[in-house]
Amino acid sequence: MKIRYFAHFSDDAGCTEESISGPATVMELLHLLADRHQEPMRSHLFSQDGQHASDDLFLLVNGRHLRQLNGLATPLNEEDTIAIIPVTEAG
Amino acid sequence: MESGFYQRQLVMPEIGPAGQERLNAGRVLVIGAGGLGSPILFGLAGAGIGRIGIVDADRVSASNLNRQFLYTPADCGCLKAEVARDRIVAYHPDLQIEAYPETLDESRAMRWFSDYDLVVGAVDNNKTRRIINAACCRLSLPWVDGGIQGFSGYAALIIPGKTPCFDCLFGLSGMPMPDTDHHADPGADPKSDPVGIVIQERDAPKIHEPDKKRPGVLGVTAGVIGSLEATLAIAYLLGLPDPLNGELFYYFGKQMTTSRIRIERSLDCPVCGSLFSTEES
Repeated sequence: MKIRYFAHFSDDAGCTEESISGPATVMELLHLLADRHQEPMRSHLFSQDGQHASDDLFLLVNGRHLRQLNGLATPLNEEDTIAIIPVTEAG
Repeated sequence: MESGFYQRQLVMPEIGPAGQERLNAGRVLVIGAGGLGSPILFGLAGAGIGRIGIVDADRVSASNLNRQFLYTPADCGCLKAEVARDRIVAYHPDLQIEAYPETLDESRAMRWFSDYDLVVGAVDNNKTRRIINAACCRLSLPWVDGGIQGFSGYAALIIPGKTPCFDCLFGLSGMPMPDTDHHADPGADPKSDPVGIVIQERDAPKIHEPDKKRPGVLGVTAGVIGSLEATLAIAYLLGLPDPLNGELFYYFGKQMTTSRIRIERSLDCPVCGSLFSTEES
């Protein structure tokens, strides 16, 4: 599957996109990315307790928000594209 | 107005005399006269948008001045909407510029928006964006949105019934509206009145302790995204094809890259779902 990183996530990963194999759900993918890239990627992906995705990002699977799918339990396929985007709310 | 004011844009094939007439007849309401609002307002006024409304209940504070070039240190403590109106009138006296120094809510949005052809969002919180979005969808009024953080930002043109709405774009469809998330600029410490308007002494800029709870904002990022929003507004008023076609446009200043993201609308979105025909659902 293809992972697209936006803004500071591309700094964290050292690339703007990469291919990943293996994770069966979005939650598994986030843990894999945190293990692979360590800090600050881990802190940017997860809430302080490490149990939930951070409120400061949104995730798209093939252009659809997780809320329209099955949240972090959304299943992933090898041909999926996942976008990881920080919230940019200021003005 | 000095007859040469529009000279450099009149020669553009996309504008010409007919396009300039369209711009002069345009009516745009800008929500927010801060970091994004500064380039948006000068951009719209420079293009000759005939009627521009400015909504902002906040007062100028020293911590605004790194990016809000509508204001000077002498304006601290004054209402942004009124200072901004005076600056834009001084820049282009022929335009009709109106100030609304009040907080936007649902009823004011419905009342004010109906007098305009287009709304441009230049706000710093998603609650206000959702109020704008709901009113624009009810009125079938297009609106331009933008947001920034650090070196990054986005811009979008939302056309109710044609593109995903704001709630669809950011995965908020059906989510309850937060009680409040209006936040004054963190550097603008002092006293706040009961409606959240920050009142600051008229004094020289001070260096405030950074507020790590709020995202940092680079002044030039606001300039880039505000200019993109103004571009979308001008292109829309000229009748040019929607350049984004419902996609989000992202700018990443640190990497000097841009990206576009197509996000599917939420089929059961309570805000915009009814605006699409059954066949599209």
